[in-house]
This record gives sequence, structure tokens and C-alpha cells, in this order.
Amino acid sequence: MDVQVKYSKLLKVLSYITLLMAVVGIGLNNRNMAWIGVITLNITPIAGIVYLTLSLVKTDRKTFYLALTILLLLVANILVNVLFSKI
Amino acid sequence: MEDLIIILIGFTAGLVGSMLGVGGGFLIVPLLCLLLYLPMHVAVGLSLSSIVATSIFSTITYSRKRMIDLRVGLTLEIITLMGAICGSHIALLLSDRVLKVIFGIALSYASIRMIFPSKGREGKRVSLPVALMISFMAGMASGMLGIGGGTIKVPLMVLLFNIPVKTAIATSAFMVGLTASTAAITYQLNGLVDPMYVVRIIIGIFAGVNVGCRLALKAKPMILRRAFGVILLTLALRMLLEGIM
Repeated sequence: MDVQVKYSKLLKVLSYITLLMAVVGIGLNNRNMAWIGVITLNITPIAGIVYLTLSLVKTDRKTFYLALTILLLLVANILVNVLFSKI
Repeated sequence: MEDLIIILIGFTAGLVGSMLGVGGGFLIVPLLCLLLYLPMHVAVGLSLSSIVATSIFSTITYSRKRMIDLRVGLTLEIITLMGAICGSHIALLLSDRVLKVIFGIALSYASIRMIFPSKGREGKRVSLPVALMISFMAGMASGMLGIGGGTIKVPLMVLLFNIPVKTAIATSAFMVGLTASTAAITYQLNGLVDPMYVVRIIIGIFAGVNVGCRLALKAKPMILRRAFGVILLTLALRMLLEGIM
């Protein structure tokens, strides 16, 4: 199956989890459920890039390096925020 | 009541966004600030989180149809991400009023471009350094103001890489998700995002996009665009006034 089709399926599964958590969070007025939904939402594009990086490693080296650079930037941003955030 | 207003803001953003092919950021931020009196930083963080959701919904469709040009998207995204990271960190250092003024100016420009669209760009070319600079600025605007930046990225990709508009739109949707989630993480980890607000906006957007896609087939895009432009201009002036006064 094509990389983009598999990528689409991964996003679909994660977006369903986000929507489910959103509905449950609102229905039960539960902040923890809402947080799980928000975290899943933010993880979705990162998980997508991880998948692209892994699947492009053998097929398309140039695009693989681009995806890897983006992945490193995303991780660096999270680390900087965790280390220097106000909370 | 506040919960209902938030869902309605998400619904409106999803409805208008899907009918006009624009992101909801320019609508969500001023509505949250002016209707619910939320601080600008909180509104930007919420808007970015909701943009991630809209981008994912559209990327699922585009990716399934293999419409995304991964190499073009990832090339420009490296620079855009750097812009988004810088923009979100700069925004945290700025005061609420300064951010409102910057947002008001950007929104005024965008709304005037909507009311009076520019002529075709046939024959125009963009050099790579200029394109990279524009990408950086688009990312910075996204991280600072809570907008997607698709309106900047699509023409840029068409002019620079000479790819079809449909491919550029699909690639832009893919890029916007990454840019917005990177900036949103900064706001979330600094305690500026309430998850209950985000999930309400997402539900509103999901409903709005579904209704908007059906209405889009019947609507006249030019009239809609101009009407939306006038509404945005009013919101822009309100934001400017709040920032200055």
C-alpha cells in the first residue's frame, strides 16, 4: 500500500481517538479526558512524521532526510518548552 | 452559556472555512477575544489547537487521494517550522495589547485582500531565497497570531515549484497541521490552553465543516468572500481599537 494511504489511515485512527475523547470529555465534564484528546491531537502530526521518516528510509533518501530534520525540530521544540516553560 | 458560545465559534469557523477554503484562525481569535474577553495569548493557543484539528481532517482526505507532494511540503516546512517556533516564543514575550495591534493589522490586510482580490499571477516567478524568507514569515505569523498561513503557502508553492493548485492546497493542509501543532505545544506547555475549550471548539469545527461542505456546492464564492471580508475588517478594527485604547 502507498505511503500516503497508510499515512492517511494513521491520521484517521488518531483523529477518531481525539473526537471520542472530546465527546466523552464534554459529556462527563472531565478535564483528564479532554487533556487526553488534546494530547492525542498534538501527537497526530508528530506520529505522522515518525511514520513518514520510517517508511521513507529505504525508498526515498532525500525525502527521508527532510522528514528526519522536521522530526528533530519538533523534538527540540518540545524539549525547550519542557525545560523552560513557566509551569 | 460560555460553553455554547465556544461551540458556536468553532462551528462558524468550520462552516466559513470549508465554504471559502480558508483556515478558521482569523475568525476564532477575534471572536474569542471580543465575545468571551479571553486574553490574546489564550485565544491564539486555542486557535492553533483547533487549526491542527481542521488540518488533520483535510489531510486525511488529500493523503488518501495521494495529492500531497511530500518533498515540496517537507522542504518548505523546515523553514516554516523554525518561523513558528520563533513566532510562538516571541508572542509569549509580547503584551496582550501589542499582540492585538499586530493581529489587527494582519487581519485588516487579509480582509482587504478578500474584498478586493488581486489579479492573476501568471508569468510571475519567485526565487528560492525569497520563498524561504516568505515561508519563515508565514510560520512566524502562524505561531504569533494563531493562523494557519495556507493563503501564503499555496501561491508560493505554485509559483516556486510550478505544481498544480490542487496539489499545493493539499500540501499546504499537510504543512499547516505540523506548523500549528508545533506552536500549539508552546502555548499548552506554558499553561495557556484550557483543554475543555479546545475539545468544545473541535466538536464545533467538526460539525461546521460537515455543514459547510454541503452548502459550498450551492453558494456563490465571490459574494461570500466579499461578505466575509467585510465582517473580518470590522473584527480587525475592533481588535486594533482594543489594542490601541
